Amino acid sequence: MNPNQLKSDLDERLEDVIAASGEREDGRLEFVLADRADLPDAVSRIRDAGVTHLITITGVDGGEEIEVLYHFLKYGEYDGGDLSEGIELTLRAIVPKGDPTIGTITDQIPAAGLYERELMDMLGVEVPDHPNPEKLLLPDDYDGGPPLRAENLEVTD
Amino acid sequence: MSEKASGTEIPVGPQHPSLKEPANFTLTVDGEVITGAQMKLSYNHRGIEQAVLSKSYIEAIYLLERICGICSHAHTSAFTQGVEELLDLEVPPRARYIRTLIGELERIHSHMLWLGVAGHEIGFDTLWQYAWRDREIVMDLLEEITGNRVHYSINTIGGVREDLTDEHCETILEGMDDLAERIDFYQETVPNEETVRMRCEDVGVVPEDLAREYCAVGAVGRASGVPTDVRKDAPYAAYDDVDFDVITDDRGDLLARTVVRIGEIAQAIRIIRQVAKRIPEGDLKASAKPPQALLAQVPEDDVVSRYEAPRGELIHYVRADGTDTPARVHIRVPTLANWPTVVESLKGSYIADTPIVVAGIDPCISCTSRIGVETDGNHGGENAFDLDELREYGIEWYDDRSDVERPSLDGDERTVSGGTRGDRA
Repeated sequence: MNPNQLKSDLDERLEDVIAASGEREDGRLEFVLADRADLPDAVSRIRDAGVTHLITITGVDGGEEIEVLYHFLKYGEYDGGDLSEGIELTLRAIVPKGDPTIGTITDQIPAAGLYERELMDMLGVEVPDHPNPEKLLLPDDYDGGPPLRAENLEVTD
Repeated sequence: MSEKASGTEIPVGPQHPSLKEPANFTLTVDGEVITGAQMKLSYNHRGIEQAVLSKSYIEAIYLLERICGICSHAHTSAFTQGVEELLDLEVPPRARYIRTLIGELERIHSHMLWLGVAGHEIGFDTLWQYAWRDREIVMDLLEEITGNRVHYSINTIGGVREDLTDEHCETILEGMDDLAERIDFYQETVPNEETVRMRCEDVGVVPEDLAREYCAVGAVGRASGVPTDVRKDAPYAAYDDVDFDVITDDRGDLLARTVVRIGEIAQAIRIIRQVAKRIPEGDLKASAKPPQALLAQVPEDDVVSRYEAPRGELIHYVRADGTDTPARVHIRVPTLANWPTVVESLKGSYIADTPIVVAGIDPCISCTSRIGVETDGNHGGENAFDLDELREYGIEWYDDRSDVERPSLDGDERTVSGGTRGDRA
């Protein structure tokens, strides 16, 4: 399956939950969620399409809102030492700063557990249903606010 | 018995029997068997993802290189390849070959280092000393080519900073001949050696479905029958020009991880020989423009850059806002992706196997908790230090220590109290 075929397959599966989709020059596919509440549903449909490897979750402070990017990989085919090219895919969810929460996908993909904790630490996007929402990277007594929020990036030295 | 867990908890770490870096595992045990495990990583946050946002793309290379002393080339390659993609720069073939060469030498040094550590963790210090002695072959080569043993600083945006001479290629091929002989020896002996088998066979098993569920990467995934390798599934540098195999194993235990890593060293030697023999002539950089001119052209865009680091898939996500500094750099290191498999495979293991099970994924805490260079001391809470405070704290701590009366085995004149140790006035 090439990126183009996967894109049309996913366009069909995700038709009612995405606002936009595209294919980048390097072959990476991008889907933008219309409503962040559909995230678990969209992830489950992506998994149904055979894309099961979650690479990571990236949070980006975009000023007015926070973007949360879910990076996936569709494995290449393996044949006796040789491996064909895989396909990268990004699912983008938009989270308003006024209500920075997003649903968990750890129940579907256990690997997401650590990445969601990193997202809570660094960007302050809460994941209410997370099974273990403790700090992952920051010290327990850290009280300085999410380090990667724009308001905490001012350097005063 | 197993249904009624005893609930005894044993804290392992943060100062740890198997790692020189801080991580804590809280093990719930029933007799000698571990029934549950929880992990804690937040001891050494360095804030690199925050600090990099105040650096230009060129300066960022040197900061990101310092995320890790073992896979430093992996971080700079992932980052520069991402920025090159943003700039739409075509890296010349000679530079791509040199990047491949350094990357594979680094993979050998990392895997040999791991083999030594693994030997040490299972009480087989002969293997440790052998592996680290043979690792010097690649360390010397890296130093000869780049001038450094650890931070090679060979990558720059659009290419590499150092050329490879014909003499270098000769030395590399000679070094590979010596090393290949040693790797043949390890491939023959390590999996059949009684000590290694007793400590590694069926220990720390990660079955394939678990590896897939937890999205394991690198040698850990491949040893559990999940064939992923960025060098093949999204070829970068010169990997689509060289022949090599992706080594897998379906047993998923520590022995499988050992066998896969030694196999990968053999494949790395194969790649390095091809590179040293076939490296094309040509430029080292994509553009003769000064770096400042390149940085002025970075568009508003984002890029996902993946790299097969020695420990597995590494990703750098770079968001550019049209200025010469990045708007966001997110780094997912392979150790973070593989941690959950450690927690799972500890369950059911014996307490005594904890060090080797933890070391089995080749963990790097320096990579994992990379993310509070504390710039002004305002954000971090009461235990955050800037560099001067940390230095002062350290000096005071050692001064105070010298006031404590401690027992001595060698008679009164050697007691520390009142002595000169720690006296810095």
